[in-house]
Amino acid sequence: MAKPGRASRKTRSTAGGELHALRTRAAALARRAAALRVAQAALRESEARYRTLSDRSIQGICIHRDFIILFANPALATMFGFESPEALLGLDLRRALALDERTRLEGYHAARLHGEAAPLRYECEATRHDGTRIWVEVMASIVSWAGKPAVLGTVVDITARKRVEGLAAAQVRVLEMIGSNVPLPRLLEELTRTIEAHADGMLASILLLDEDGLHLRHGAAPSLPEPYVRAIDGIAIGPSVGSCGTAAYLREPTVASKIQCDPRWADYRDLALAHGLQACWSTPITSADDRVLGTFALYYREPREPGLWELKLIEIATRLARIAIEHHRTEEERASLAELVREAPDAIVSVDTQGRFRTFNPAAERMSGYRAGEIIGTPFSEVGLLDAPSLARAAHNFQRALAGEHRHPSELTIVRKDGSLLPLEANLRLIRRDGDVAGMQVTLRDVTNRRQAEAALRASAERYRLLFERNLAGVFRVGSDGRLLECNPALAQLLGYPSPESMRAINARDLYVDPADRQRLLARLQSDETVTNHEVRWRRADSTTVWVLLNVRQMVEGISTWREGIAIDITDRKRAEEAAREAAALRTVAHLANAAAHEINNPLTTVIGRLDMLAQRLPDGSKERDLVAKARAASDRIREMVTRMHQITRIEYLIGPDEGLPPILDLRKSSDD
Amino acid sequence: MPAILVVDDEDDIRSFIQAALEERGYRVLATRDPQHALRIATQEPIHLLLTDVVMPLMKGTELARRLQAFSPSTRVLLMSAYTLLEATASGYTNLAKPFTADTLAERVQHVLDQPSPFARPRPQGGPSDG
Repeated sequence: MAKPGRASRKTRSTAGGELHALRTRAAALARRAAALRVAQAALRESEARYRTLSDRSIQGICIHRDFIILFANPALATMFGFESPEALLGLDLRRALALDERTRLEGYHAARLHGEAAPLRYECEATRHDGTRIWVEVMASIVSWAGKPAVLGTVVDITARKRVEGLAAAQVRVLEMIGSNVPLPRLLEELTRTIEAHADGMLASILLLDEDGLHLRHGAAPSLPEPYVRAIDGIAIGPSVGSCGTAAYLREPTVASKIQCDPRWADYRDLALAHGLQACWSTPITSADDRVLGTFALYYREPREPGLWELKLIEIATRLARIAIEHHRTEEERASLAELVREAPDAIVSVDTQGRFRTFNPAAERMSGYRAGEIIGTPFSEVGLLDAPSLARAAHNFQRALAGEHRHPSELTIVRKDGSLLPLEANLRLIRRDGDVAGMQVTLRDVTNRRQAEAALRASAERYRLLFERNLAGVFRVGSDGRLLECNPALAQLLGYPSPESMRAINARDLYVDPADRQRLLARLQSDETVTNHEVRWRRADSTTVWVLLNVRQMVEGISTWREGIAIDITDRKRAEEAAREAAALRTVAHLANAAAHEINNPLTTVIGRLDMLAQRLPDGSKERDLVAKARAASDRIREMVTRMHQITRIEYLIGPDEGLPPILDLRKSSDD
Repeated sequence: MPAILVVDDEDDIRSFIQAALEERGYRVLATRDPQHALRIATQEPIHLLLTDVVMPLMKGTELARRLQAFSPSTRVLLMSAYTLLEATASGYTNLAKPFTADTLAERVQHVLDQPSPFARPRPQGGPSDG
């Protein structure tokens, strides 16, 4: 800085002053130049720093004026698929925007230039150099570029985030569809389409494991070629059945990144390749309880290995598929249960903890005569459905059951709407919701028929008992070992025992007079279930014999066998038959005797007559007369015998079989008399 | 002399009876054929029909019934080698074979001695008279 000089030295001091001033100025200039140099260096450094920042930024940076790109950094170039930032310079940004986005962003731009409010940050969808689409988030601000206002845009690629968001939204949509009971095929198709929409070039497929657990059935594959879908529908799972059959069999993800070379595809390779399918990754869909429900597969038309994103998609898809399938099956079960309740012959109703009717199925309507609408919401104690004793019992059981006590089925009588009574059997079951008792399900069965059947059975049993007890024929049951299990009083009487009880120790084999009779009976029972009119002789308690007619049936129930039968005493008939037989034999003898007598008597008459005549002609005491007298005596003897034979024909009564021949028929005996 | 008509299909019997009765003085007509016997009875009075019961062509009881139909006074004596139930039931006097000549004669005389409402004039005397 120049200092002011003195007057005496004015000239010297003036010149000196000027020099000083010049020096000072020069110094100042030098200082300024130095400062400028420093500033320029700093600026260069700053520029370099900003360029480095811009070049190395992972965010895209661009400066545009009226959408014409004035500056772009490498990150932006990479983001949009260009080789270098320079390739972007001079391009119209709007060409990378969809039409609707273009209008929106132009609006923002205009507002910004006019100082009006416009979003500083916004998202938009853009097209890359190769035509693929990306989502970007842009932060825009007005800057001065080469002295004129321009827009600085900082651009972030949010495609991945958007994809995740889109996928999340899609998941929600699929879940909503599951919740709204969209039919399973449509749901699975929607699921596969959703997955396909979130990755390029993939063809998704879902196969469902058949109820037999051995075959895979078509589930959904909207993008796979129809003939291929048909061809693999119903394939049997196995350790080497493509990707899906193998995945379902081994219960683990099966990746065939190159179908052409994959040994597990040996049997299906040609089929897949013929339809241009080159890679297939399949993952089993397993239930919450670890049962295989099906498979989710992604096909590609070129050899590929799954990336992280695809793995994510597969995970989401299998999870959604599992939920969809399980929900569907649960729904099916619920529907079939609901139908069961609707179609059940038994009344099925539910009441809440206050005893108010909550449900009332059609059978309940039929039985009671009330419509569900008349009943629901009303406590069972107030409907008048139960007669007084039943109501007391029902209320008691209800309270006990609510308290957790097990209640056995109880019988109730309901009063139908028309006043008639109906006997029912009630079964109670607690309904729990989230662990808490929520009410009671009551199953009511019409027991009218059962009661009638029970009464009929009792009557029948009583009739049978009477038939057994009072039967005039002996009725018995014998074990397979011959032991007498049961018999009626008539049998005891027939065999001369005081009571059926006194016959307990008897074995049937001891009853037979001739054991062969029993063997014949058993042999017949081997071939026929029933043997009728088998006549045998049994031994009575007092050792006398009795003829019985047996009708015996072989009985089998489970592993136990026995015989039951009826024994009728036919001793009298047998005796009568015997007597008739003997009488017939006697008659034959009598007829023979009579015929013989006739044949003898005629010549005997001549012999006797002629001998008498001869005797009269012979002198008394002569030897000839004596001989004639002997012949005459013999003739008389013949006549006597014939006379006895004659008498046989006079037997007009029958004689007992045990009494032997009457003396009169015993010619030898009678002649000896 | 009472006429006795003897009918029997056994020739030996017939000839024995004829001999035995003729020996005792009866007039005896004999035949084996019941039809012939009926013809004889139409031609001459028969006091006694002595006939076998069982014969092949006609039973003795039938012969007696038919003969008495036109000759009610003829007495009947049945003979039979069989049991005499039938003969007894017929109501006629009967004689069981075999019999002796004496028994025959006694029974014949006994039957001839029975009174009959349709009796012809009783021939005088018995066989001994003949």
